[in-house]
Amino acid sequence: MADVINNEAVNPSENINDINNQAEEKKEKIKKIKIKKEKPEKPQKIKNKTKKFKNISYEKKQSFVGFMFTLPWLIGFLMFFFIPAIKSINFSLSDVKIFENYATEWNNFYNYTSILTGGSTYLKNLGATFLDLAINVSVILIFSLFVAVLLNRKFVGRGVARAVFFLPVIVTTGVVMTAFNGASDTSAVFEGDVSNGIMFTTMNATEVLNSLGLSEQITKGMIMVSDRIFDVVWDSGIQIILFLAALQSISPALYEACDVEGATAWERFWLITFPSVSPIILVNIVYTIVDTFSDPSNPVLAQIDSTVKNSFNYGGAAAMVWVYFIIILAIIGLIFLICKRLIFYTVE
Amino acid sequence: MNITKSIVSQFTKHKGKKTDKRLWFNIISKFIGKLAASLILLGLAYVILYPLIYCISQAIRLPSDMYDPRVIYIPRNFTWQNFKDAWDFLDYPRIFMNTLNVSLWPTLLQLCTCALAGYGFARFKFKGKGLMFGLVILTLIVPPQTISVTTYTTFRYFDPFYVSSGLNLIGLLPENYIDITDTIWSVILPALFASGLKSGLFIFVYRQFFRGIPKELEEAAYIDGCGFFGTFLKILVPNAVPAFITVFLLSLVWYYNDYFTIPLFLPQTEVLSSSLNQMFINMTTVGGPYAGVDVLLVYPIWRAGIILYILPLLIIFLLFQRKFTESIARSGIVG
Repeated sequence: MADVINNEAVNPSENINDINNQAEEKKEKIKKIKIKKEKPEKPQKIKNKTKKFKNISYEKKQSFVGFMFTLPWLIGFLMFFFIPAIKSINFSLSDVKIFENYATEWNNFYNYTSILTGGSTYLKNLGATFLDLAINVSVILIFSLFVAVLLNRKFVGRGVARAVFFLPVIVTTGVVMTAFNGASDTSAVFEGDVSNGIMFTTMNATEVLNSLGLSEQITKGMIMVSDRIFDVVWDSGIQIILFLAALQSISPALYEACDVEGATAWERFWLITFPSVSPIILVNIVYTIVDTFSDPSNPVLAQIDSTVKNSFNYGGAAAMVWVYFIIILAIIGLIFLICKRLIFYTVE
Repeated sequence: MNITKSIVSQFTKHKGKKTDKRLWFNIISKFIGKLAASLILLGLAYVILYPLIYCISQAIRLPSDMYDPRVIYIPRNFTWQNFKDAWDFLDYPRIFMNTLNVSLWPTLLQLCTCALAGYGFARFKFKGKGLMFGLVILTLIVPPQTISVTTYTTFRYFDPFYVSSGLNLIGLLPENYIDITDTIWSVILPALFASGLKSGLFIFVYRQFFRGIPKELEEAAYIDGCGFFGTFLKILVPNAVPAFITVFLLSLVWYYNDYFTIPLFLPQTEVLSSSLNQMFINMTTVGGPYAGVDVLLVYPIWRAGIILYILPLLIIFLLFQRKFTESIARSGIVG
């Protein structure tokens, strides 16, 4: 009997549920119908809108206005980028006569063959610049992500610390950098090492590291990285800001979920932080590459500068620049291809 | 009080030894982590601040202190004389006004024209938009040295779309070109057409920012009868203040620091960056005021010159620091 009563007691509730479900389904159907009814109304509204803008269609008007907004840039691009670039390609393919209004004369790729055939200083400089680029990009990337993660934590004096790390963005310039790099001159004089004028170099670390039993190649690598500490810290201001912005846009809910699941800090970094900032890694790689290779003090650009200013070989300089640029473009393209697979986008 | 209470309550709740140990382990490891983080940050901050501190310390000492081995950071004899010497040597007020002239105007122009272009790329659909934006990115990647010489020749024989040739035909111009090198136009014109120093980056920043502003705002304005340009001025510009601050500061600072394009296009105009670059050499070479003087005695004056150069930047930075970093974070370069 008790079972029967229970069954009876259960059945009505199920019935009620069914009724509720049915009611909900009906509501949804009604909603759908309502939406369907609303849909055809929308284009009518837009039509009403377009009537206000004379008789041209909204799309045409929009595309015209958009073009007008970008027109100043287009003119500027043609005048101050496109025409000079074409001229520069022309220079690179010819003899430039400076005293005849920069008249040019075709010289059968002489500029290119002269800089690219064996043993030229240009090739050596290219090698040096690209080695520099590879080290710079990797070290700056890791360093700036590391600092951004540290600056993203809560601690006393965070505002001051951030201000200090963003200082290089404002102050950095070749002039001040060379001045700063020479800033330890006098202390070096007192220490009896006149030749040493570069900031924060590891003077005796080689011997110390060697005596620890490390192989010479490892010590060389370590010293190469640690000698750069000044350049790296001063060059990574923008990268730190970008990483920091990316870190702040990560939803805290993800970290809460991590804490609930009992993930360690290491796992938190590799499973949440790293994938979330991965789009910015690409931006930062490209920014660092552009920053490094357009720095006038790097060997290739210094050589180009001297060919222009000292030997007035404009054609040769143009050829050097274009070879340099095409290699850079190839590198950036390659990085894009590699990163496309590795990047994780939260949106889209 | 609340914190201590909560900690105590945690201890009293978990009386088992294992949980106790784990809690202590957590507290200690967190403490060590924080200590390590702050030590690393302190060390790196030292790398950034050391040259500045050293520079200041040398600039405010009497030159004779340079020979004193007891003086490393804190000078024995303070003096402002180095600043006065550097001020006079650089002819600071005149050169500073020059610098301001060639950096402020292009910055203001760039601020407006890049915003227009950025808005065009962000909101409107038109033929060739993808290609044009690709070209914007291209201008970012091409190093300025690639086209610097030919840009110079363009300015030397300036003939935009054969306008000068046309004027020459009518008889309004003596030659079929205008020489705009060594005039401020060679800096202003590119900025006016959104092709100044690193304009591509600013167009990109604006585009990203405008894309982040909800479209409904503009649609509401259109429905209320506002035109396209009016909507841009009244709705989008007030909402994009962070982007404007970012672009203004970065552009101003980059023009101020530039020692490549401005000396190339305006060789006669002395600006701070290039004259500071030459300052030490000009002071000590034959004919300079400090020729033959021991280099060590010239250092303090040079350092004072560097400080005078950095000072405006530092002031701007300290004034805008918080807004600047906030606005970069909000500028949506990230998205």
